[in-house]
Amino acid sequence: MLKIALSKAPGWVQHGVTPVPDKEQGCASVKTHEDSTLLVSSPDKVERHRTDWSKLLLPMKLTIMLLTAFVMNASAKVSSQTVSLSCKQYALESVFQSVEKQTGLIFIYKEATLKGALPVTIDAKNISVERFLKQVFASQPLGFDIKGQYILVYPNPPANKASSATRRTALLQDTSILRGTVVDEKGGPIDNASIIVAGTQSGTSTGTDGSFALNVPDGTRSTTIQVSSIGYQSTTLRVNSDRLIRITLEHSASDLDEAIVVGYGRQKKATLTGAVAEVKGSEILRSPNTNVANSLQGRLPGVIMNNRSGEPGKDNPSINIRGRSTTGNNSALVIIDGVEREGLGAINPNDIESISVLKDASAAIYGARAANGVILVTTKRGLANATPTINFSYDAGATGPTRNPKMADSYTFFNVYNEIEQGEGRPARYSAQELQKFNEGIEPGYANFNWYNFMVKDWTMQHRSNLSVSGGGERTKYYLSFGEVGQDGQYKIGSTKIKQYNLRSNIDVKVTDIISVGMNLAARFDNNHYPYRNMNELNSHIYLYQPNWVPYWPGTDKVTPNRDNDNIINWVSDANGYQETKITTLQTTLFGKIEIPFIKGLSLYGSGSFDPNVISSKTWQLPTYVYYKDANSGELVKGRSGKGPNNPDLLARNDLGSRLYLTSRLNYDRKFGSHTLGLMMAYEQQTTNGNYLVAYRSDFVSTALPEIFAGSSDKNKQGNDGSATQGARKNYFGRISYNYGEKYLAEVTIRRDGSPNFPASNRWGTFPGVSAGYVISKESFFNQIQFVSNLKIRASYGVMGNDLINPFQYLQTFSYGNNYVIGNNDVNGLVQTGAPNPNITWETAKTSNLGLDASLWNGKLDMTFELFKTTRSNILTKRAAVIPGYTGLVLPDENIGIVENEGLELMLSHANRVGELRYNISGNFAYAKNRVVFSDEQPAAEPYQFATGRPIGAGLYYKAIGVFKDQADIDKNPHFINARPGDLKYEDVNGDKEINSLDRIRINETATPQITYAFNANFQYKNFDFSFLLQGQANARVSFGEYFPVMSYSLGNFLAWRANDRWTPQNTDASMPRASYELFNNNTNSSTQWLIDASFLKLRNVQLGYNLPNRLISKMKMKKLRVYISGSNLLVLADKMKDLGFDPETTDYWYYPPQRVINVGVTVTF
Amino acid sequence: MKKLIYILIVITGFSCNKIDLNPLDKLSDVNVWNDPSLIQLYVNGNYNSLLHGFQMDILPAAADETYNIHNWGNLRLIQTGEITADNVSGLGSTINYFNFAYGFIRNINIFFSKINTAPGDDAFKAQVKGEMAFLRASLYANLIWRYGGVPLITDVFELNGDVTVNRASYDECVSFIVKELDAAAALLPSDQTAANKGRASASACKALKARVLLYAASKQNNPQHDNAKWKSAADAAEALLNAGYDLNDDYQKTFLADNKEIIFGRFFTQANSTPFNLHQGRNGSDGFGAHNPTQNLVNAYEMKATGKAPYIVAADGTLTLDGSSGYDPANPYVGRDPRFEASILHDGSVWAGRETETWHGGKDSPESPNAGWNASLTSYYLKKFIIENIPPVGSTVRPTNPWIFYRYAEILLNYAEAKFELGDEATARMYLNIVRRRPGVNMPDVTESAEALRKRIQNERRIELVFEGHRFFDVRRWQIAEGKEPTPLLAMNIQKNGSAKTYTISQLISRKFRKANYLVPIPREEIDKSLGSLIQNPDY
Repeated sequence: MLKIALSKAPGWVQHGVTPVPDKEQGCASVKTHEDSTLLVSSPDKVERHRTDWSKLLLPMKLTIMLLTAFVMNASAKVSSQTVSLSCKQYALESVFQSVEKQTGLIFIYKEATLKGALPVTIDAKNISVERFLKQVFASQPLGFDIKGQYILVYPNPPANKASSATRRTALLQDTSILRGTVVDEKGGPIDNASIIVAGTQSGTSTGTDGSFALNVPDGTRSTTIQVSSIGYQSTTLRVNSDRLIRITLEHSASDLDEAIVVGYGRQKKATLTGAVAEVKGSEILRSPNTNVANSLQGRLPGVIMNNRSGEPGKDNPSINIRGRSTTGNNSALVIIDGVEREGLGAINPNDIESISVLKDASAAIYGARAANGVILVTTKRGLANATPTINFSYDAGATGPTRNPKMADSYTFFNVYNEIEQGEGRPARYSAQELQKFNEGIEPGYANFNWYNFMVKDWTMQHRSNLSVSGGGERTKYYLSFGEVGQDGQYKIGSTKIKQYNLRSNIDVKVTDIISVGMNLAARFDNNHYPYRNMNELNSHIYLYQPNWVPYWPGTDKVTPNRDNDNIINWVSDANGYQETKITTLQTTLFGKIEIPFIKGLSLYGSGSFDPNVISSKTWQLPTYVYYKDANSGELVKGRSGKGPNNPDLLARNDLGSRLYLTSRLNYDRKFGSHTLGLMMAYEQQTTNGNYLVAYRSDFVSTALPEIFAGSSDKNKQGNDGSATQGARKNYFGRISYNYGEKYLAEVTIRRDGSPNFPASNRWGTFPGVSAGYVISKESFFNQIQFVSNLKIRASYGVMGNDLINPFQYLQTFSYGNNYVIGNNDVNGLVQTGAPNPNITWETAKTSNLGLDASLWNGKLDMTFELFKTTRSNILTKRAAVIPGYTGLVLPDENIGIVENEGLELMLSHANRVGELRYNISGNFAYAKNRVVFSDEQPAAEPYQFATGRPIGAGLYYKAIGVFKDQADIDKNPHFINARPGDLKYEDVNGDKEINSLDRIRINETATPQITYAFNANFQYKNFDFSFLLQGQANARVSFGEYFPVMSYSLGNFLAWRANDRWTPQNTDASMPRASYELFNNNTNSSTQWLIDASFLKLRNVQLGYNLPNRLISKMKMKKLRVYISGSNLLVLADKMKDLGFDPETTDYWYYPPQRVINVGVTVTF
Repeated sequence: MKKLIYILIVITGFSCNKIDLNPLDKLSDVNVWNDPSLIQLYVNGNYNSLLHGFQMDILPAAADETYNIHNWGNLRLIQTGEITADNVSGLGSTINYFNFAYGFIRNINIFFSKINTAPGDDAFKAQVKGEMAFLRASLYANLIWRYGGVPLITDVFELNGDVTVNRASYDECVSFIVKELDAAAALLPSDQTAANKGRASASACKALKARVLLYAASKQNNPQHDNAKWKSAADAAEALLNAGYDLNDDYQKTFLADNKEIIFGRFFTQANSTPFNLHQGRNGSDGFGAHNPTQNLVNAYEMKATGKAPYIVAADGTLTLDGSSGYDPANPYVGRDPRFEASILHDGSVWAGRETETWHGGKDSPESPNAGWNASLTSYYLKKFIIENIPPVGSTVRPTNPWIFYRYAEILLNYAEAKFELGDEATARMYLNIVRRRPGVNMPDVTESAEALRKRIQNERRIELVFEGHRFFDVRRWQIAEGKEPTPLLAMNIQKNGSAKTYTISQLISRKFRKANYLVPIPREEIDKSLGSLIQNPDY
């Protein structure tokens, strides 16, 4: 109810709101009613919001099928509202209130008008508003006029229509005051909402009844205002001529009307029936990682990500959607702007509108590639009728290792040396005095040097800049951006340098009212420079370098000869040569959409994408030099190191690849009263091609030109190679979605996929999906339950496939290899690549999901709960454990495995405001447990060794139960045939008094965590904002094998953790086994001793930002100027690998640690 | 409008792609078996089933010949008698040969199932069939030498077929191998031309047959001393005595280039070779110092003047100096069998321009500042097969000297041994002395008889064929491993005081040998996978 009490207001006005879409057209945030066509300028836009995203292009026969099936009466019915009221002698005002409550309509009148009103007595049941009001007003000295949502009340009798129009006109002349109310979806007033005239400081806020009055620039006919309130989505809208408006704000915490990107379209959260996690581009930008994928950690519930390495350009995290469901390939399908594409991590984060993850049967629309889940990336586009927005951002930061391994010091190292010698029956190599010198680490030759401290920088610079322009007119929309990233490696004198340039142009053109076309173009250029020795070689050497070695001869800058008479200082710079990779990637899509005339809601969409890429790489090796001390003169003489060739050599490789992807979709989206129907039929195909050429020459006489021609002309010092691949896919798919009043929701999808990876007989697969939802809160009885604004249950079931295998395994193939020398010539050999499996086909995943969405107390508490179960069968794996070796079969993949994966996800969020502090906090928790139902198993294994019934990858480990104190301890316990005092004591699990492989047990925890959780909080106080993200995982263990347990000087240095409390003849009550000369012995077996708990809680991200006040920046013609400081991977709050100096996310022990980033940045919007 | 729809439909229709594709990076079955040149390549590839001795895990380190400081291929488990059915799968294919061999056997079986219907003239088919039969025989021979009788598989297992097998007896395997070799020899030229050098020949078949029959006649496989078996062995060796092969004058150079002594070998090119020089090089020259000849072996080299070994070795390994040998423990490397200098680098050996220093603190000792962890622990480095002017590192040049599978000296020794076992000691001594009289060696004649002569024959084999992969099998077939192998491995320790050096022999590692160790265990998982049809060797 809006009473106009101001004396200045001479009459009434109707509202005239033009929704300003703040995103892709059709996503207007302002609610309008279907039957208010008179007053709302573009209702179609709202109604059509699905059609814009469900565009189709299809061969003729599909078109005809669809046309005949779905040509229907398309006229929309005017929905009528009814009123029931029984009262005696009610004040007219109370009657108005009652009507307002029942219908959502609003009475508008001058206070004075009701002065002469009479009390009302009426008994009405379900009669139309109009009839009801006629009865009520019959005895009143008043008249009324229903205009859309508003009922104008005026003194009786109006002369005629023209006179009321005159009155309105009169009001319009006072253009300086804008009045209205701000309400929520249910029509309830929102108090303290802020209304600001865009681009000015002029603003106000609403009262407890949601009403406001705002001074707007006089004489301005069109004003844009921004309305916002905590817990609601902010909206920007343009007010044309009208000066009385009603603004509906949507809850933001639940984002119910927000459209989420799903497979081949968008869907309102309110009508979503699948389990879809989404993260907005703005969220991603909070994390300052150069690799976008690493910014997603903790932000997508149920998506398990671990950053195993921090090496620039090679730091893609492992991504498991809902854990692991297959022993085969686990990688999710990545769709970038509708096309299967590589490069999730390399997208310019500023370009990302949103990233959605389809976790359940909602992915079934992607058929044979969907079983591992689908990640959908959508990039930004321009807005129609929007003034150009220029956005510039720059941030610079420092990255540093989260942790470096803690290695043993010289004193420990040489004590261990002596222990090994004495253990082998040889005299100690170092005297007590020498050990003391190592302990002091001062005297030359007795250094105690920390190679990690020396080689690895604490902080390395990185920066990122981005410039974008977006906007649009009536017919065109554009988003153009350029981004640049630069990053250095972690080594102090290193030459690692990563440069990346991203370019994007997303254009939409509305050619006619029914035809629109567009083009997406993304170009990326990567220029990655690494030293010749790769990260593994380099880091393993830093790890293993003895602590008594030093980099330079004392007092000089001349490098010493260390391992292999070389020095890793030579390896981090270009002294040893380099590896350079230049990658040019283009992702292009041309698309068009036609709204088929005469059949409302039918549209045809077609697109063609062509993604070529070129990788040009060069491996340039140079001889390295060190300084040797001349034995006689004592002088330092430069000489060749002990590694590599005497002359430079070069390997150059060019890879060409391309993907052609065509799709056409026919969409039909209509609303018939409360029935909303969506139909889609589509066809898709893709072809991929790739080939490479590689050339090699050695013995370059000069380093001036590292190009192939400049190498040796001797044919024996040249080499070349090359090959090619091709692939294709063909798909037919369709979808029917239906909802009744957004209360009952249902969706059915089906897809038929053909893949050349499989033999003709098994090539085609059909993948159906079905889901349904029920929005209980839409039921009328729920009107009573005020604190629940949304309550929805949903369920889905789908069948999906996984075809990620080596192609052509159904054919017997041969490849060149196994060369031999005949007649002094190196001749080709031909080897079988494996036994063919003529029955090979895709894996099948049957996934069901049960979900609950609730929004309570107006967004104060939002909740989503998911329960899922996936049964993966036909898992492609090799029957290596059951096919005997004497068959000689090189095994192909076979469809044999079955795995079940089940779990739950819970997301809670809370948004509120205390005074001027606005905040929202959210938490998510996910649990996923997989279980092998069938795998190839050796039949004779002990029952506890069966992999069946256990998680994928659950390894076999000896159970370490201590360390043998002495020979007597060995003699009285079961032991290995060659056990020695100080060896690990293993449990005799099968009780046969012998320790052998049958005593290994399976451990149910693997490197893939079963539990992941995150806690996210955002605060806003005046112009400050602050956010942080905590993330953790549990029920994960990493087995460090190979060289990790080795403690032998013959290998090199070892972890201090390994040496602490090691067994020695003096320390027999040890927890760690003895040192040994042999690298591998009983102690290095895979055992629980080396299986480390990988659970952790990390402070993943913190950001503090400040928006400069408008009054300052508007002078500089800026709309926004924000400065911020942010950090990523800042702290490990709790974990079990601290003593090792390992980041708990790593699975490798001589690793390039995940990086901690501290960043400052600025964003300017013009 | 309509036009546009049609255009879109047409575009989609025309671009319909094919999803029936062929691999572009591989050849398919049809290509291979219809093209003789591809069949030839297939045959070429299977030559890699022959394990040469320039690998990282070589048999001397599983016997008492060398100690591999890096324990490549985990072969030390054999030396220490700690081999089990579990840990054997962690060994290199030199010992853990089972799956390696059967992989190639399947390839060859496929070949035989296809070759008769494949195109190609008879001469071509005869040649490739002969080659493949030789390769398969060689695989089976190496299998039975390690495991005893094994499943004789000549058919091709299918993915879903019956995979149960039975182990054939040792003798059944021997007759199969001999039959195959006889047939192959008939198909192949007695020697290959230069252009085909490296391919199997009739002589190669005969040489393999001689060794197979010698092993089959030996105590391990012929405990009853059936003379018929020794007769076959002697005949097989005799067949090659006048086949055009002869001893090469220079023992050391025999292994560095092609020569008349080689019956069958593997050749190398720059592109197809191994970094053997790097692996065996002294640490002081940036090598990895992998295979250290043992003092046990060094002690087995006789004195040049007397033909006597320096020490008398007791059953428990105790060394007693044999004063009559002329050996001077203070100058241990003086006056030895020339084959010692040709095969082993010792302290003081001049090599690649400098003296070898294995005295403690010397350039090639563990105390060396130069990668001490790559230094020999026995004070010896490998010299046999090594080309002096190829430095271990810093060179792109790799060694290309051939690996000799069969050479004439072995045939002579095979013949001598078989004749001795048949009671013809005179012939045995004669052929033994032919080997000893090689111009560059010229050791005094052996004159012993009976058991003493047997010991001389065995020691001659140990010395002449050192590091060539014979010793591992010889001690087993002679059944002397229990007595000899468990003696500790010995090392030489050299202390240098001024210019004076003192030499002390010390224990390097102790060893064990169980009766079970005469054979190699089949990996436990292979027994499990066979569903019990494959029987494990006793006591594993």
